[in-house]
Amino acid sequence: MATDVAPETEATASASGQPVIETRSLTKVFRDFWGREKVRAVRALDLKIQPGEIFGLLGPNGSGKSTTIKLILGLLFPTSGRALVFGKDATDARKNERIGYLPEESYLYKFLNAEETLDFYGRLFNMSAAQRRERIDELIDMVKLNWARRRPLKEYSKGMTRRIGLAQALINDPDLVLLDEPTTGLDPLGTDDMKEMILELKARGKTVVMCSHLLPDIQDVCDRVAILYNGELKEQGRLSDLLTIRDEVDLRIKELPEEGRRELEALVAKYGSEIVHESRATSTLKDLFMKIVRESEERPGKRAPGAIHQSSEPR
Amino acid sequence: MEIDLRDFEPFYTWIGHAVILALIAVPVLSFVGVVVGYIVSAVRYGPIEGAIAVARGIGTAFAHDFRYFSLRRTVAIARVAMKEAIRRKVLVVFVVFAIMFLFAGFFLDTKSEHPARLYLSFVLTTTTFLVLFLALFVSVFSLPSDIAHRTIYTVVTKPVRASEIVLGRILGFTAIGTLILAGMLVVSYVFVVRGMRHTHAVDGALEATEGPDGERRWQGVTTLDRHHRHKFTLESDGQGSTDIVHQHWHSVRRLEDGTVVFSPPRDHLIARVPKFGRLRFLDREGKPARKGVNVGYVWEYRSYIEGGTEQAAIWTFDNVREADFPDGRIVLALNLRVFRTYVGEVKKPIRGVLFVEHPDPTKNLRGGPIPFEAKEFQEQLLYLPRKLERYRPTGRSSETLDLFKDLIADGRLVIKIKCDDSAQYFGVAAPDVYIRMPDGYFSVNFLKGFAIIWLQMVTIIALTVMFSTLLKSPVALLATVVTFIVGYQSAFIEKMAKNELYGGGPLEALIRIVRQDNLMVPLELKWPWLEWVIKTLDWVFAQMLYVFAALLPSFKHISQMTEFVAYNYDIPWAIVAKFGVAAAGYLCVFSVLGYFFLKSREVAG
Repeated sequence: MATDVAPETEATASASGQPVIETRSLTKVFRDFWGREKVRAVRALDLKIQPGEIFGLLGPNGSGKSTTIKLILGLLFPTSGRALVFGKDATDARKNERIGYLPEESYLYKFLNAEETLDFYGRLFNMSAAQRRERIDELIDMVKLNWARRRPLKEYSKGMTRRIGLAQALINDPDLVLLDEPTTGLDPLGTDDMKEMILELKARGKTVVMCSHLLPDIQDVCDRVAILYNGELKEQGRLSDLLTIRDEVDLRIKELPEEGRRELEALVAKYGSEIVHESRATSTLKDLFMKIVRESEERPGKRAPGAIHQSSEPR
Repeated sequence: MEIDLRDFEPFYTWIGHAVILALIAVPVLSFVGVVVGYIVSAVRYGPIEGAIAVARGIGTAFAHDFRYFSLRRTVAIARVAMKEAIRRKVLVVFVVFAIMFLFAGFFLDTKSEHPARLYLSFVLTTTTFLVLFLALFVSVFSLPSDIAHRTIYTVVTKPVRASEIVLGRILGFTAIGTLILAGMLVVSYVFVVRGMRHTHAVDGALEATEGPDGERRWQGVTTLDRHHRHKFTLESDGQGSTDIVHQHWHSVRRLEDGTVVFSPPRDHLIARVPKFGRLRFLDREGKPARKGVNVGYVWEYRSYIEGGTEQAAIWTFDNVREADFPDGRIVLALNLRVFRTYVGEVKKPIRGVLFVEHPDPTKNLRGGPIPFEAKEFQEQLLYLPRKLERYRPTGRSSETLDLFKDLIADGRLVIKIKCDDSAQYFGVAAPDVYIRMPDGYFSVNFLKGFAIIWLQMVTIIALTVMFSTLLKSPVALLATVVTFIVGYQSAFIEKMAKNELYGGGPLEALIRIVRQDNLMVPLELKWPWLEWVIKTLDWVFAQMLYVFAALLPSFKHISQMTEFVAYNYDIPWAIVAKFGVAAAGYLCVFSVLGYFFLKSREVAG
């Protein structure tokens, strides 16, 4: 693999438990030609993403997810604040040694075929010919494109393009993978494959950051999420915490006889409680998301993350 | 053809000046670059953050980006750039070129006195412009289209340095351009050589003559082919040659069965190696003068000397060594112009005389005179024999002088030319008389011409790629074209800056256009202060443009070099080396600028 990274920085990064990604009041303002403010796409964003987790960035269209990813990658420069990746500034090309990035649409050279594409990106990591050959075979197998490896990408379907896009993101066996809308354009089978691959990356100790508005996908794979609305961080935390309803208890009882059930109901009544629902105890991410969006629309402005936890109030 | 003797300055003196210029220009330009960078950055981030950003940018550049420059990544980018160019069907340009040549033969005027010059000019000009257009169009769209189509996202998020993206592209497009240029080279060479090839047959009967030595000779004329015919002479051994028409001659041979055959043309594609000298003048009284007479031509390249007076043009050649002339004689090439104050017999040539003088006038050693008749518009060769008669103003002398021993001192040869017909003039410029050294190979010279086109192409590619890191394709295209024009017209701009042009700068010219003023009359405005303001503004503009133009490659000058090939002059290796060094310098500057431009912009705009 690549050799440019000074080894001591890598060592210190992992030893000190340093976050993989850290943003410090990251702000991005887009201006027009005359320097007038057009959009404040990201507002004072503070994020810390730890090694080994799958982190989801959520938000409706135009909420600043993609801008945040671009700032983290150094494709955009912050108006104020900083984005650090592996402790290095986001504009430092050395951080890219350990990053894999799948853009929202796979922006690849359409005139290259799958092999040439991966070979090109492999060269950009200064990989030797032997390393490239080995890695290309491995990745093409992994994304199941063996049958189309010599076809130019312009002949690829959307799903195939997504898959070769993922392969190029993984060419350097990265420690951090950034996925922008990884499942868009994939059929259910492809979506499942993608999720499986993401979980496999986690199993291998990689950090994954994905942004999406396909909530089930996020819910299925992410450990932690941050919800953005209008450039602001509205909610952040472990998915399990966010979706737990604190004033409800979920009991799962096997083979409870009718008599036992009645006794249980009596017991609940004795404490002045009430059984509200029988089958599920967690909310869905979609509910949480919709709630935050609604709330933000009603009360614009900064909202302390973690301010609302799910409760059983009528939805 | 106008030859600038500064081009023939030896490489080592040139490189000395060039290094000094670079030592001044690089720090000054770097400083200007940092200041401009800081201003942009300060506008973006505020004065302190801006300064930090600039410092960090420069720091990263030297500490990491230049240090970890990887050839493998650069070549990878170059390969994709090449594939992209091929996909954009740049090879079509080559096909257009080939087709053009298939039909060009119909349109080239073969009646020309100088068909070889015409053919060579045609191929070299066509090649230059096609290749430059190709270089421009291939490189101007690539990076902006990568940014527009966002393919750049997957590239810059790899450990690629901006320098590698810039250099890789330059390298890739250069490779494609080289490939096409090589193809054009082969096609052009074949086109010229085959286009020139022809032969003749005998027209009419041969006429037998008897020379003074009693040998029988035959004379005749050839058939009219390619709009010309030759006269030829056959010696008694059946061998002979034709005269020179249309820049060439043929050797003639009589076969045993009596038929006469002509060889393909000779000496039409050559590489003359000139050794130029310095020119000074004597006025009508024979006193030293800076110039000759101005006969009223606007073009001041040549100065004129009047016949029948003491006025003379004197050339001094250095480093003339006997060892360089194995057959003991020096070949002098003359390209004099003639200016007639009366027509007289138009066909009657104007006569001149040539003397060889000892460089030290106190020695009063002079060989000659060697009389000659000026052939206008055609190079004529004079052979300076080893033994020359010593010139005495009164009467003939029986004393002979040795060219190398008596007349050349410290390798210095002095030639004096006078016009012999009174009231007629010879027009002379320093390059008009030169010592003709043994010819170089035409094919090598042709290659040198293409090498110069290639260097020009590389410069254009680097320039375009630099602009395309910062600007959208149409704007980058415009910027390159403007830069090219300013660089092409740098001589004109220099004149404007030095106030040598009639009509003033842009503002003054505008007023003159509106008022329909003559260029020669002084600009008289109602208010003198306004005149002062206009002239000052024009002056400031001209100086700025002058500095800008002086920094750019002088494209016109580069293009002129290919004329050497067309005019059958050998391009000295020193010129190729100079342009090579200059192109390498520009390549460095444009790459570094491109690096900083690309580094300082948001590719996801």
